[in-house]
Amino acid sequence: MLSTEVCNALYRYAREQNGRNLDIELNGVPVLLIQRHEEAEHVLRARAGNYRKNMDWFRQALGSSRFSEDGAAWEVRRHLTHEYFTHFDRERTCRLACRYAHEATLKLLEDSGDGSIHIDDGVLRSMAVSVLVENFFNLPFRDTGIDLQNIAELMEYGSAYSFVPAGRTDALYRDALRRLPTLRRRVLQDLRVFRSAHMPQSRMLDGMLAADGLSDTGVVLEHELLTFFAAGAETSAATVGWAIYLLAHHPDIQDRLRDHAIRIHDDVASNGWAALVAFRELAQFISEVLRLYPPTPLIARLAIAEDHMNGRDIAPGQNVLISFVGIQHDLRHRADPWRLNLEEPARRSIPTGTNTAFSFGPRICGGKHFALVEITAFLYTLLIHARFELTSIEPPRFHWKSQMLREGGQPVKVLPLRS
Amino acid sequence: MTAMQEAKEILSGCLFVPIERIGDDVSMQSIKELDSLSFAAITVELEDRVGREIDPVDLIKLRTVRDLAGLIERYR
Repeated sequence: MLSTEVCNALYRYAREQNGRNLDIELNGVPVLLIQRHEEAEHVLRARAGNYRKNMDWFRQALGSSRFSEDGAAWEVRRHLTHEYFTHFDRERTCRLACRYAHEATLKLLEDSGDGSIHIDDGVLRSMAVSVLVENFFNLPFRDTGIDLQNIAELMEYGSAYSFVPAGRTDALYRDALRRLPTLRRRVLQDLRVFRSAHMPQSRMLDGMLAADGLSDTGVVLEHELLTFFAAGAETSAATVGWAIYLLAHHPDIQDRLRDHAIRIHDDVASNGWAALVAFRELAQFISEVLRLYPPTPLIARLAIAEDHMNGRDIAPGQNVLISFVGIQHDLRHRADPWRLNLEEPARRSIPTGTNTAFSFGPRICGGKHFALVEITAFLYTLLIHARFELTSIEPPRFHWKSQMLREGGQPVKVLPLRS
Repeated sequence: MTAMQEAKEILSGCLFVPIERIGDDVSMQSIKELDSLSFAAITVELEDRVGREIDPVDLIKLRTVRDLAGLIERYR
């Protein structure tokens, strides 16, 4: 199986083997695929010490970072960004997200006006990274001169070769190897601006540069930045893409959410996030987007100690993949897990998108709250400035590119509200 | 471009570290842990640059940036 096909396989397993953990083979490597919330809890929370991160593919393509490391190496890197992600200014993030979502809406309207029948992922990516960079580095992203396409290509590279068995040397692989150093040099060149003396003051950047200067930490500024962009912006952009698709797929829900958004417009203009946080139906919609189409659809672990789980023995060296697609589509928790449902679940124990898609346990995504604030503001802004219409009723096929995207882009036309 | 500059350029791309962080006499392993992907990328880029295959024995002996520069000179 091609690594980029993995998301399609996860949806197939979730449909055909719903609510069961499976023994599968990925390019010859035996893997335990977890599709039940109970065992995911066991691996990610209850016995997290028995399972280390298995992100070698990510590290090899994008460098070591908070995302890929464990133990002391993770602690050092976590320290560089954690405080900023947990104590960020919600009002500022909300304002930036509204501003850049408005710019993105205008671009999407222009694209559709020019005949495009797909959402350009690049517009959403640029929107999300603009908020991230300006929020944490006090610099408008457009002033960095960074070509996001280079970063996206490098991430695609990491995903495409994530399950290639060691020692593979055929012509295709050699061509891919040939591309890698060139691509990396371009990304390094793009990110040089963050080492420039002309960068605005940023405590987070100062901390990263200080760690980069210490030889014993192994921290490389560019690796941290790349992961920061990948985890902090690409996943939000992918989520907004899936949200736009679901809005277009459910015009009644789109209209209802828009009516509410327009009703609270003056309040949001005056009170910002304090007003937007009360928009419960939008929060529930976002949770459903994350449940139906988790931008990070799987995470990988490696057993490092003997364990026993759900009646089976786990030996050290066992590869474990947690499928958020499987967990979030479990028929034991919902009568129709494939349907968008804006009613809040009856019990707290039922896995929801907001509670599971960012993972859970000690290694929960550090940017969860930042992501939820900006995604709420993105969608609120998109709703009050445009409407969305499907251009194809074909079910999605997925493309894994460090996050789950729709192959070919979301089939949606963006139209002005009055037309 | 000197062989040393070329060696650093190769390592910058293959190990994914800024060229300024690569000293002349440091070991490649100290720049960044040399994983299989990086090693394979070094081999392919080196062979492309010198225009012929590199003897695996020569590759295994590589330890420092200066060793790599020396190898480039020998194969040219």
